[in-house]
Order: sequence, then C-alpha cells, then structure tokens
Amino acid sequence: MKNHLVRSCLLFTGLALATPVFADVTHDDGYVDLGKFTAAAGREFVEINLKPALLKIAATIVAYEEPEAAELLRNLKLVRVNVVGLDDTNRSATVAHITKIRAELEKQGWEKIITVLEGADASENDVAIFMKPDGDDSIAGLVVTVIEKDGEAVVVNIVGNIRAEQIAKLGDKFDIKPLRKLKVAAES
Amino acid sequence: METPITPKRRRRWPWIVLAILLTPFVLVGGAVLNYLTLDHEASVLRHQVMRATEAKWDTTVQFSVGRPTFAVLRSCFAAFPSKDTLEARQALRAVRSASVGVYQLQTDSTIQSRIDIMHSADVVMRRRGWERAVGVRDSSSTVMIFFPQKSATDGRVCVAVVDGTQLVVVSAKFDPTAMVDLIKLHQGQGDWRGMLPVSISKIRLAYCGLGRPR
Repeated sequence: MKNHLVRSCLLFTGLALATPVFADVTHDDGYVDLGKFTAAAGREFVEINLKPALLKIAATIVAYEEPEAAELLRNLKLVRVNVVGLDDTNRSATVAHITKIRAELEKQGWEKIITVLEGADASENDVAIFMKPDGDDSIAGLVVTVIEKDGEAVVVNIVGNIRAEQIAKLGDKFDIKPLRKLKVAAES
Repeated sequence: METPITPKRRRRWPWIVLAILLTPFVLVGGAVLNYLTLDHEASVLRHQVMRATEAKWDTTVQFSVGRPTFAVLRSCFAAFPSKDTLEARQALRAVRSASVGVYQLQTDSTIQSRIDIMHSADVVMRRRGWERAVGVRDSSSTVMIFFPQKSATDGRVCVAVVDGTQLVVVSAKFDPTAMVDLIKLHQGQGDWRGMLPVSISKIRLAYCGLGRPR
C-alpha cells in the first residue's frame, strides 16, 4: 500500500512537473509547423498529436518490460502524424504542401538523411527523411515525409532528445517503415 | 371596545411534512435523470457531432455512472477478493466516472457531411479546454479522442466514434496510475505497439480498443 502510494505520488509529481516544462514545444528546434492538410472525401485522413504527458503515460506502461524504449519515449516531446489519402481532388495540393515543407526544412538547416524514389519513373513512392542535429550524437527532431503516387501521403514530426542509435528503434516501435529501413541499412 | 384582530398564523408543518415526503422522490428522480443523461462534456460533443452530420439520430442507449456508484461497486468487489475478479476490480479502480451514449442514424436520414465532423468538434471542444490527440477518418468511420489541453494527466478523456450508421460518445475520468496497471494486466507483457495509438506504415487505431487493425 505504502509502495503504491509512493509510486502514485512519484508518477503524478513527475508528470505534473514535466508537463509545464514541455508545454510549448513550438519553440523547440525539432518542431516543424506542418500546417493543415486537405482531406479527400471518402479517403483516409489521420491526425495524431501526442504531447509529453501522454507520451510519459506510454513510457510508464512500457517501463517494466522495456526500460530502453521507455527512456526513448520519456525523451520525446511531441509525436505528430498526418496521413492523407490522396485522390484527384487533393493530390496536387498535398504534394505541393509536402514539397514546400521539404524546401523549408532544407532552408532551415535540417539534414536530409534519406531520399528514396521508387517506381519506373521514380515517382511512385517518394520518401524523404530529415533530422535536426543537436550536438554530436543527438537529434532534436525528425521529419518523415512520404508521398505514394496512388495511395496516401504521410508526414511525421518527432520532437525530443533522440540519440542517433535510437532512430531505428523509433521506427520499429512506432512502425515507421522508412525509419525501420535505417536499421536494416546500418546492419547490412 | 373592539378586540384587535390577530393575523392568522400560517401552519408550516404540513409543508414540512410534504417536503420530507417528497425529498426521497426528488432525490431518486434526480439520480435516475443523472444515470440516464450524458455528462456535460459528452453532451456537448454529441450535440456538435450530430449537428455536423446534418442527420437525424435516435438514442439507442445513454447513461452516466458517477463516482458514488463506482465507489459502491469497488467496495462490493473488494469484499470478495478472488483471482477471477482481479481484472474487474482493477477496471473499477481505474475508472472514476463514465458517461456513454450510443445513437443510431434514423432510417430515412443520411450523413450529409463527414468532413466537417472533426473540424466542428475541434472548434467547440477547444473552446472548452479540450484538444484532439487522435483523429482518424475513412469512408465510413470517424474517430476522435480528446484530452484536456492543460493537463492530459488528470485522467479525463472524451471520445466520439461515428461508425457507419452508429454514433458512440464517451466521456470518462480515470485514474492514470490504475489505468496503467490495468493496461499492463490486460496486455500481458512485451509488445506495446498495440498500446500506442498509431502504427504508421499500416495505420491502425488501437487506442482504448476502438480501432480495427487494417
């Protein structure tokens, strides 16, 4: 009982203390304003915006089984995901929007770490991953952009204190395919 | 000599007796009304979603269970501690209050617009201090999960799901620590992908068990 009480107090205190510190992620180096995406009627449209408090709850859940993963989650400040199903009504606007984001990132000093162009005319799948370095071996933010010609567009912004070797783990845990490929590339 | 007319004393005791007799009925009526209506947040969300769909809905079921009821249930389950009731006890420990409404689209009605549902709910909920953490929409369903803007750790959550011709609205308050224990108990050990709301290459919403793996 006493342990439980202490654990609860620690959890709440930790969460309560952590929240205001990370409350405004928009000033963080790794944050990118992804703007608004236009949805197509009848197509998939996903918006996810996980703030520190929720990420910390997730970290608490996995802490016992996977302390390493919990540490990774604890260091994240924001996970924002947009998935936009594409059709003729929104394809050109979405592609233009993502192209603009990519150009802005390069202008702001983000490093493009992966570019993949798949398909016969190199335009079926267009993947670009950017990172914002924070010191020698850590990353302040990651942006994953994917445009599938006949499918969907995916844009992910992960903000936090991420160590380089944790990128593949992030991809693995959040199931971000392009990031998972980094691990494969590094191993081979 | 005229005797002064004394004002007639109003009898109060019949009113007191009546009030005493009626009080239990008023309390029971209030409690029943409380059980059969949604709490304020859920009610606002339901109203907004219904308005955005521009459709007519029938109530299938609607109820709210507050702290006192959960406290009584917790006490009842605590009196019979056994391994079989572990999960139920853990769930009751995790949930503080819940308000649930299920609605069915009227047969002669159709959902005019699914695109506006999220935007319209966002505007109203943001004004009330809520922020949408998850929003998923496809051709037939829309899922929205809101948490309080200031502190997502106070354990309040509002969920709206429009699936086909059905609308489900839930507002709940839970104890985050107990909820974590419950999830651990339910998920078993190891894989925590299902606990997080998103899996990006194969989008699926597994948060609160609402999603269907694709």
